[in-house]
Amino acid sequence: MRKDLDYAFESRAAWNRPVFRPGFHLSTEEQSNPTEPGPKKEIPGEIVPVPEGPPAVGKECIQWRVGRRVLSRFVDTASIRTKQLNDREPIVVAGNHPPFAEQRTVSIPSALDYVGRTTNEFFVWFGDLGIFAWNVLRAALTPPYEWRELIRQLDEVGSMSLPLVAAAGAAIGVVISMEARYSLSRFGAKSMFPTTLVYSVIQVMGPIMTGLIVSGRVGAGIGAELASMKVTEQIDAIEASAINPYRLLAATRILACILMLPLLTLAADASGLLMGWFAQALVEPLSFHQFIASGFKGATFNDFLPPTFKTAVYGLIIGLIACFQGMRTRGGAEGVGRAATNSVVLASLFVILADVVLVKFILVVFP
Amino acid sequence: MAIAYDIALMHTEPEVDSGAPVVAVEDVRKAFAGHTVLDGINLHVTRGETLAVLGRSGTGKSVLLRLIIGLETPDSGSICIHDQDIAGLVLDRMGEIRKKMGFLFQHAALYDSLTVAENVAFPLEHHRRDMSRSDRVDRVMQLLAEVGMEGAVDKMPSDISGGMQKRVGLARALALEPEILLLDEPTAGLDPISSGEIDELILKLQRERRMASIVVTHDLHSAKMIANSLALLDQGKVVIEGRFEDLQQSDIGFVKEFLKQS
Repeated sequence: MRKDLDYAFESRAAWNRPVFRPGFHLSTEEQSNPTEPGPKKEIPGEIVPVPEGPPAVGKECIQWRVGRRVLSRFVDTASIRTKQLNDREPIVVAGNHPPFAEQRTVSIPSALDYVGRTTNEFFVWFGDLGIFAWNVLRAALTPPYEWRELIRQLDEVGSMSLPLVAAAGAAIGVVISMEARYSLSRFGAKSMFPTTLVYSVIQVMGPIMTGLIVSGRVGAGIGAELASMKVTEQIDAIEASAINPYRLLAATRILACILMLPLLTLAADASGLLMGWFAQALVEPLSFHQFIASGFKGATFNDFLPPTFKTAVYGLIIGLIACFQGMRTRGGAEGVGRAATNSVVLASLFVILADVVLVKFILVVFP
Repeated sequence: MAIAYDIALMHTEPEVDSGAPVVAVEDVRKAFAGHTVLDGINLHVTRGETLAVLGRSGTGKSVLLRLIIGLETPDSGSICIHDQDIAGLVLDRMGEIRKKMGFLFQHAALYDSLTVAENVAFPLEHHRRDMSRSDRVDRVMQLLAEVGMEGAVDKMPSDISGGMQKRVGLARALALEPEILLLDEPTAGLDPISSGEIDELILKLQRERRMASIVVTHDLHSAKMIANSLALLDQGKVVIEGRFEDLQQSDIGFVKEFLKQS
């Protein structure tokens, strides 16, 4: 309270000193007499007249002054940063404004503007992605081919992901085994256990789980690696060395993802079935031979190949989005982090959405 | 020591061809987000010539180099390399032109997952595929020896100093025996001795290879030593272009101020 009063009695002149603050406008007087050098920027918005002073008396007055003091400290820091950026950017704003909404110069985008801008950004993102994909495709189909880098990426995407995918597949197999045993027992269909496990793992859980795990591990890795190369000008250096970065960096990684996803899915399936059988065998004696023979009885290639090879599409999605996010990064370490996060989030999202479409497609084409 | 060094350099200034320009920048304009960076730039560099581009920070010097090597595209105007306008060229066609160019980035931009030797070998592996492994190793060692880095072959870029990184960057830029050398702040952030060594190295390379070079720098002393001509940029325009003596004799206020402050 004592401190508040100190603030309250401090001279008004000290609080009224001009300060810089992004997001605010110069008051009319300050616009005609700017306190810092630099080009003025025309900012859309309405100049709202600043009232003469704070509320005259009472608690409201003290709150006004304390709020103003805090604001001044904040904007002083902002002013230093603004000054540092002065060479690169126009001075953004200045103003000496009390912390009341009605006393600030405010530019409030309407909800419609916001929706319009977001929609625009959405389509721009897809447009850029399309152009990127076209550049990668063109680079991938024309020589010289980057075999060495492709082999390195196959190892990175495939071998390095194998333990993780196999472990996740094993866990899924055990979970499905326990759930299926319980559910089938309730309906007196225990004999269907092997078939249920085989179909659940191979047609549903194996592919989508592999897609999500690879989008997490590989998507983040590719996104962060390429983003880091981008912000340190290494991609520019590759281009300046007359090497097509779409061919060397993007095409190889995307192709590696496309080729390795089905193989990783097979590994996840095998691991899931093995551990699913093992979990069942611990409870009730069931030979592995009997489990396999019963589970695959009446199955055709159409039951298993399409769900396995649809993961090549997941690979395309993961590789394409991670490379795209990485190679368009801006903004230093923060940009690298954002690229890695966006790569994982968007790749996972699109893998799930693609699964919906692909399942329907498989049901129609391979009835 | 420094005086002897200067005198030695002055006596060995590389010859400049008076023929057609190797690099011709004509009325180039470039803006970023509505902010004009380059506003009608005209520059010509012939074989054996070293042009130093000087100016304050943010006047678009580095952007000019990026435009010349095609990492950016001009909003208007033309950039010709050996009479070939590079505007609108597809990446692979531009790659053919870039093989004749070497670029030293301001922060060297070495590949941080490769060793020093692998960095220098990188362009050779991609563009000299017919070269045997032993020949490639010999070539890399020769390039590293030229820049005085033969002792750091197996080191990672993060294990060597900024000056050493620039030397390695220079070796990488020279790997394909370019006809045009673009150097972005080759001595920025280096101590005076390292700067002098880099200057000496650039001058030695110029004498031996007679490339057309464009050097972006803040360092007037360095520019005076390594360049045949200087261009001073301000607010996106070339304020003056000529020899160092021309700048000294200029009556333009900005030129005087720049020379005074340097």
